[in-house]
Amino acid sequence: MSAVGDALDAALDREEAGAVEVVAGPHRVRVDVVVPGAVGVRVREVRVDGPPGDVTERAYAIADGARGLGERIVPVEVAPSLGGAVLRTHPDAMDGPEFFDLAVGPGHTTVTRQRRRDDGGREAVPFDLTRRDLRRLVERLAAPTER
Amino acid sequence: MLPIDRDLQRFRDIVKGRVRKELRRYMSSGELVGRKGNDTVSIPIHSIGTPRLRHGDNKKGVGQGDGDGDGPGEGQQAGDAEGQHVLETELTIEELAEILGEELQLPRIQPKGQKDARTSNPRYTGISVNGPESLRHFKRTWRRALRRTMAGGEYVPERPIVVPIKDDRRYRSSRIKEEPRSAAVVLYMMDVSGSMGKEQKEIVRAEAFWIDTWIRHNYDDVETRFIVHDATAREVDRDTFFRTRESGGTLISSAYKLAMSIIDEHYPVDSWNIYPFHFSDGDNWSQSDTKLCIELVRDRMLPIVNQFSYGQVDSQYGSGQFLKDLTEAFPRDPRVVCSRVANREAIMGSIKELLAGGR
Amino acid sequence: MSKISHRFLREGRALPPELEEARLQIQSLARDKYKLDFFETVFEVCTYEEINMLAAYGGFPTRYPHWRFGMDYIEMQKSYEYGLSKIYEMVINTDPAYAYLMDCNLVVDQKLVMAHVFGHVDFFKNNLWFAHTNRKMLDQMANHATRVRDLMDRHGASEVERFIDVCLSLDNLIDPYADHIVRRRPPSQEEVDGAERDRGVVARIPTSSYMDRHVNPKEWLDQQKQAREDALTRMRSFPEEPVRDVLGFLLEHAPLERWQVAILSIIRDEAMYFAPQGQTKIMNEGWATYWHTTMMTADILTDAEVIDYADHHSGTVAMRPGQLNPYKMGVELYRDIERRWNRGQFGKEWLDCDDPRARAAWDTGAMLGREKIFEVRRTHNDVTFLDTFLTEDFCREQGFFTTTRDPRTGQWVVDSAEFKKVKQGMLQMLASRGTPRVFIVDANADNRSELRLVHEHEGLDIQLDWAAEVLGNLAAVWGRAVHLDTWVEGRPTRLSHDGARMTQKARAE
Repeated sequence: MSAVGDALDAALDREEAGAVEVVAGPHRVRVDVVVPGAVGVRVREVRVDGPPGDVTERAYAIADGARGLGERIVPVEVAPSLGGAVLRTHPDAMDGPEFFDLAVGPGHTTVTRQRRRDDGGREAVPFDLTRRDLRRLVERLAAPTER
Repeated sequence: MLPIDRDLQRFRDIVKGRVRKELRRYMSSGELVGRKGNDTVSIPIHSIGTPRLRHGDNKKGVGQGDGDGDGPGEGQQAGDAEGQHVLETELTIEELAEILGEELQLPRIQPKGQKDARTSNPRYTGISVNGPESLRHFKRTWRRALRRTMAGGEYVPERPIVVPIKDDRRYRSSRIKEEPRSAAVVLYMMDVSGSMGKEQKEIVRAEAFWIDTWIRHNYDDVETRFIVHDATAREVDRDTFFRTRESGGTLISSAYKLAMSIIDEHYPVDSWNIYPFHFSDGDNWSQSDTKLCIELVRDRMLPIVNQFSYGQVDSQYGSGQFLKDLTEAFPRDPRVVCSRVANREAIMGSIKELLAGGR
Repeated sequence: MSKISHRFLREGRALPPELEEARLQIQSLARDKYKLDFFETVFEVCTYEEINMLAAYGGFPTRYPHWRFGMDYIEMQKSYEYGLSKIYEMVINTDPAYAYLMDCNLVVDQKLVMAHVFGHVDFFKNNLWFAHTNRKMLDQMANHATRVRDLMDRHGASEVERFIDVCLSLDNLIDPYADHIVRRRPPSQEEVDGAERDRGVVARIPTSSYMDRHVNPKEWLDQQKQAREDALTRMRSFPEEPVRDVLGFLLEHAPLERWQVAILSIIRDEAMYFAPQGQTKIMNEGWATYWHTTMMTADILTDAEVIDYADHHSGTVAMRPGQLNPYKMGVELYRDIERRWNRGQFGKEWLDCDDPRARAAWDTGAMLGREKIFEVRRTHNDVTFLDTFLTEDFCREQGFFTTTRDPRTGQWVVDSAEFKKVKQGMLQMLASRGTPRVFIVDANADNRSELRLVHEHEGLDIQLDWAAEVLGNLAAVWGRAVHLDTWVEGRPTRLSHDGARMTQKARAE
């Protein structure tokens, strides 16, 4: 949906770090920008809200559509009874201790990048995307089941 | 007793020494898992036997036979094996458990309270002359009566009537045969949600193998139950336990609830030493479920179990919050034992942690 | 029947009457009708556990205490359980010979076994490679056992056991052809000094023959001078000649305590005793099988029993097509030799004839077969046996390879190149099972009293992981570093061990 994509681009062009939030129709996007840029950005989190749908359907569609992140994303836990799903980078596609983590709910998706620590724990780390890939990602997350 | 028994015993001692020395490797490699028979475990021993100069393919690491002057004379020869470096030999589970206990310095378990005697089936084994009619030992009473009748010349085979008199009567005495048999039940619970991969399950399998070995060494009778869970829990058999894979979310409380219902139904605390062991990667679905789990542990399990054990295995995604939450909730309670298992090499340390309490 | 001198396993083990009767019958058959020549042979009936024990002990009722026998026992038990090997009998190379029968065998099988045993004992007695083995080994093994136990009492069981472990790892480094102990002491200082002196003075040796006067004195004197130089060089190098008997050399020259010398001699003694058995497995098994099949079918079995027998043993000599089992091959080779020598299929004319029809029909009525196989069992070992008698015809008849149609003649022919490959493969397999040929060439390597050995590489590399352990043991015994010059993957290599670890370096050839 390019309305939300355009709105996001406009907001990011303002070149400020910090949370960037846009609303376009039924969709809201929030991007936590660490380092702004015209070609690429460093972000900490991307969250897209929209009209609710079937969790399972959304989980699989989003896994497919999140290709713009550059790593193969697969559903790890799909729990409609609990109201959500967890998608992550496939272990084989992991090159090092970092991976993408997507928390999918009935109407929202939150994308972060995690690093496995030596003591076994996890910590969130910022990640880089081109503006174009970010836009495409957001558009896909906004309407995952549409092709 | 043949002369060779001495050499056999010496060889077994050497084997035991090897297992002791390489226990860490055996635990990390998991190569003993699945080799348990009824009373014995089959142990592959690497490179035992006498090395000699011989021809061999160094690339493949295979020798070309045992060369000359090596043992048995004529007759059909066993052991013309080509380049075998691995010998399979058997230890009893007892022997393996002893090695485990020694190397890991595990304290012997003191079974809790009055659980030594299984009092559910009292056995009447004595005979006394006084007692209630319900316990009358009819055979013995009859025999005495018969003997008396015959001795008195009153027994007529054509009309064999024997009337027991009071003196004839014999009664079973309730001298209960005390067979102290200690009993334990181990409830294995495993998170089989999507984040627990094959490697993680192999680690759990290995841990279960050693826990089993140790518990069986410490108790006369051991039962095991297996529970798998993702967002829901169900009981399965041993094989299924290690092979199940679900893709749902993780709700740890489902497992603890099921464990409690099995315990309540089948394992009264005064006859059983109860051991719940839970393994997961620590990613519970929500903090509120974790809170529920902690309540279940504190209010339902701890009052009746010997020890509640939790092992958190790292996955490629690292591991989750649950271990931290659990240790925070029970910082000093010796009945709660937690262990993190980062990888296979950590299995040995983890087993030591889990069994170090001697509970 | 002479008196039995040993009842070493337990009393009351005499053969039951029907077996004793069978023994007499078969013994007489073997000796009188078939002219087998064997030591008096004592048979004992044993339980399955006892036979396994004897097998682990190499056929002897007592051995020195060592875990290796426990290990071998377990291995044998396992392979029996898997049906991989059924020890029907066990017989040892002693005089009198002792043979053990399994108590659970049927009488017809025991008869077969006895016939088989007499074949073995005849082989032990007559094959030249056994000529110098100690036929009183029964007592000797018992002595060894006692001696080792004594030493264990005195010096500690673990310490003695550890040293035995070391010796065992070296026990194939012997010279199996040595038939007497050669004492090899280093030349004394006087002898070396004397040779040095001689160098300058070339004595004029009085010649007794008239011709000598006319020999060019200068040339002759130069030769003598060179000969003395060589002698001096040899004396300086120790050992003078490469030594194959490494154990023997260590006994003489390694810094060993007396009890270690005792242990090492025991190990060497036993290794020498068993060595010929390793080199004649195929021939010995083949010989014994030849005789039991001959005697069973010709003389021993009733008609009814023949059927049973055929059933039991159809597996034992058959070979699956394409599979070469050397032990089964032995008996077929003897039969082939017998047939050929009966029909005169040998000698120059035979070798020169290449007409297949003539060869097939060849029969001079020579009837030398029996005589020939008796001669063969006397003079050959496995390698020479195969090398000499494994012929293309034999391979074809045994179905060892496939035939193709020769386009020119339309005949089915065997590929000669393939025959060569088959034979080469068999000989190679024998060689590879054998011990690498290793010689001590310098006991004062680099002038540091280090030991240098040479491996006579014949196309097969030494296995390096075990070599590291063995060289480590050798260094421990020798007390200094040891070096083994060999070839690894086509490159000349020196393997050295300083007692701590082995290193592998390229060397000049």
